[in-house]
Amino acid sequence: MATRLNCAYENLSSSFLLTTTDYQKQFCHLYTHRLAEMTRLLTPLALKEWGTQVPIMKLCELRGEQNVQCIIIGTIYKHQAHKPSILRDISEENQLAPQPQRQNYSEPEDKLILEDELQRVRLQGGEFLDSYKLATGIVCAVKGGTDSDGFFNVENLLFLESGPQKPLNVKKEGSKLVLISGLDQLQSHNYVEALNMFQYWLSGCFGNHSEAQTQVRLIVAGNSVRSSAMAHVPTLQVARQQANANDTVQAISQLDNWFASWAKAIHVDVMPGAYDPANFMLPQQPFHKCMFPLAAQLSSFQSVANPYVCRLDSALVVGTSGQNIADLLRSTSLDSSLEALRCTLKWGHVAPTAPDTLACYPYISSDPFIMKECPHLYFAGNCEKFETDLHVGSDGKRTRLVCLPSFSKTQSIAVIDLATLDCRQVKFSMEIE
Amino acid sequence: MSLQQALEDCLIDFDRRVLVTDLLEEYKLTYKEAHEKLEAYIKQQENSSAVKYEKRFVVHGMLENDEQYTIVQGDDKLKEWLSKLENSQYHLYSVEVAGGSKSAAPIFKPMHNVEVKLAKLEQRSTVKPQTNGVSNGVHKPAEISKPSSSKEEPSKPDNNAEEQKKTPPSEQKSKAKATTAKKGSIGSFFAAAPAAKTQPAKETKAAATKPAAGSMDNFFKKQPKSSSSQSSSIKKEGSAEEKNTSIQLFAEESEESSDEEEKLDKLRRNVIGSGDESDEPDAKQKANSKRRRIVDSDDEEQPQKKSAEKELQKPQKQQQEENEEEESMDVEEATNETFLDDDGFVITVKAKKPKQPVKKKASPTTATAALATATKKKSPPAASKSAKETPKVKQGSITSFFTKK
Repeated sequence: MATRLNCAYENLSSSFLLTTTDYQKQFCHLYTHRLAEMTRLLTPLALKEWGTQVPIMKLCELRGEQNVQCIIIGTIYKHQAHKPSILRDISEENQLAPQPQRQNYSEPEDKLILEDELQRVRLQGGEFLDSYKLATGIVCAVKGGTDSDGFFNVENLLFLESGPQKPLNVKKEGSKLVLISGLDQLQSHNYVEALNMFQYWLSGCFGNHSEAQTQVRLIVAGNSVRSSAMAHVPTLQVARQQANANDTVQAISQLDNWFASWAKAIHVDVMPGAYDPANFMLPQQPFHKCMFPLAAQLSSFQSVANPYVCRLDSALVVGTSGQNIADLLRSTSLDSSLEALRCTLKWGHVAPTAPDTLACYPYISSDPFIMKECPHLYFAGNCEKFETDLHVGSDGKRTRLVCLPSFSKTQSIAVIDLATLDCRQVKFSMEIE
Repeated sequence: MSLQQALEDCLIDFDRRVLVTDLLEEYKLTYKEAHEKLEAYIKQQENSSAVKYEKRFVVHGMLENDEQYTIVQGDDKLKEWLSKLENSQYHLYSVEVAGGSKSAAPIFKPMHNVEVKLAKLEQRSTVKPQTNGVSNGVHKPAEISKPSSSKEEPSKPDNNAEEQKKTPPSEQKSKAKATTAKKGSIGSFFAAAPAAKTQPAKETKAAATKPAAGSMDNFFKKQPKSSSSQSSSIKKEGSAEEKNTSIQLFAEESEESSDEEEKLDKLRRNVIGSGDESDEPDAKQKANSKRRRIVDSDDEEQPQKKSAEKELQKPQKQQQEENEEEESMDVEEATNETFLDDDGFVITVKAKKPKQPVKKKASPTTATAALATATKKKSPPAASKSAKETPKVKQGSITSFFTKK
């Protein structure tokens, strides 16, 4: 019987594991730390890019002076009229019924504001400033000057671009990583054949014996239990909730069987997703091992955090279950999930909209979502469709971007060669009349 | 048995859809082997007899830079897809007799027969994850029952002989098994502790676990034995040794609650028995079983009642005498009264439930509040019976009601 390739593996997600659960803290600490940390990383980049001719200043140092060329490093705040606001929702003055949330609340009238430690300034800059592409929480360096109206005219923008990247070790036989998301066990009866084909493909049964040997790991990127929100029925709510709870328990039990059998063939990492029975706030903590009593017995199975960072051979893999991308698409006018993914890589932050519109743990002494090392593979699960691109950043950094669709919708997965960063989609379909 | 033999002996039923993946799981074959053997057999069958088979194939190849695995039905579709895909291949996926009954909806079965294995597949050291009370919803009654029996077993080392006499042989066997199996477990840990300390603790633990088991059968078994002297001895031992206070407290509570249970149960039997007028032994048996069923159906309410009883115990004794008179009055007032007053208005005086005065009279402390709620929940059957039997309310009771207000 053939065996799989061995691959060096290191789980680097420890920064996402919560050691304390103190939800009483304000989120300002997170922004403060984000700004401080990214200012430290951005300063040398700004100096390298724009030289020492233009000074890096704080907003308070400008003191209302006009036409002073300077660099300011700060956090972008995007003022959006239709951004969801809990305060507005519960405002007693309005006396309005809560309105359904918009799918997208980005508008051309949105205003960009740059905040540093003490002050804020309105940004304007025409072609240099793609306001529709930016979102709240991005830390960047802006070069420009103030005008008489109190605006900061942006001449150039600089992002972190996810820090430096370690070189890839090129092997003859490249290890391959398999990505799947949105298994949606509760709806699995709709695509039994596709699921069956997938597992025997994983096992190397369909004449893909040699290729299966190079597949070293399977990452299940969230929404394994369900891939949409539970239906809330106003009547008989208690009964409905109980039924949902039972469904979830059954689904987890089934998933345990699946993962236990797959983990005999390949290393399996399971991430929680937006609709899985896990904590809501990012970073989502790994599923407890008691949820998967059969699979957890095997050393080849592990529950991991969302976001998930690991190193396979020499390739740094960073991925999420897709909440960060979905939230970014709501607050910006970005065209696709791939563009959103690319933007987060350029901005050097996995989830810039957290904690503004994306729920996130109130960290007080760190921001674990800052990308200090540029990944070789960066993926997001539960996207609308499969998209991929090889992003080449500054200094020739190459990152494979993968938007992974939900298996329940497309019955497709992604396979990435960790040596060449080639990526392809594998589809399992059925054409029966 | 090999697949070939099974096919020759006609052990595989092709009236329903047979998946090649199912065959390779059952006969521990590679996909290629299973597919080849099955294909050869079907060809042979189609040539020799007039039986037609409906075949499905997995076609795979490259389609616009994507790898495609598609299940197609019939040879025509197969050819179409083979021409559509680059580097195409195909395998037999499923077979069934053509024109047969409609196959059931497919069920996903996780694979067990793996062709490409992990080089090193290790079992984690913690083979059985300790759920700590949290389960994934898959309850195994056998496993649940074991710990309870094993808990009981070491708890009464002195009463073993007595217990064995009372318990049926099947239970004895299981208990014996439990004792042998429990070596090295938490029971042995306690056994290692000084005997003087452990014995009372174990006894109390057993006393605590028994009512927790909750079945009325156990309760009936226990009844003849549950003399107050035994419980008092446990209490004494517990008070003499106050080190393991939590267990002692639990034991005391459980003992008291069991006494209450007895009282309640007697009441229930009286009520149920009053309706039973047959003297024949068979009828008695039937009635007994009926009673059991009725009592068992009440089991669900037990935890609530127990907790209510616990709260009741002390205040009930104090207030019982005070409430007796008023309760008798309230029972009389338990029906609605409608009458015309002097001005000609129709006045309806709503029935006053027997619990309300207790609620009103209760002191503002939480304990008494709990008592009130408990009495509300637990209306003794005797009282309800008497309430039904009460005659229509007299004028005097109405006036007394108003004076009270």
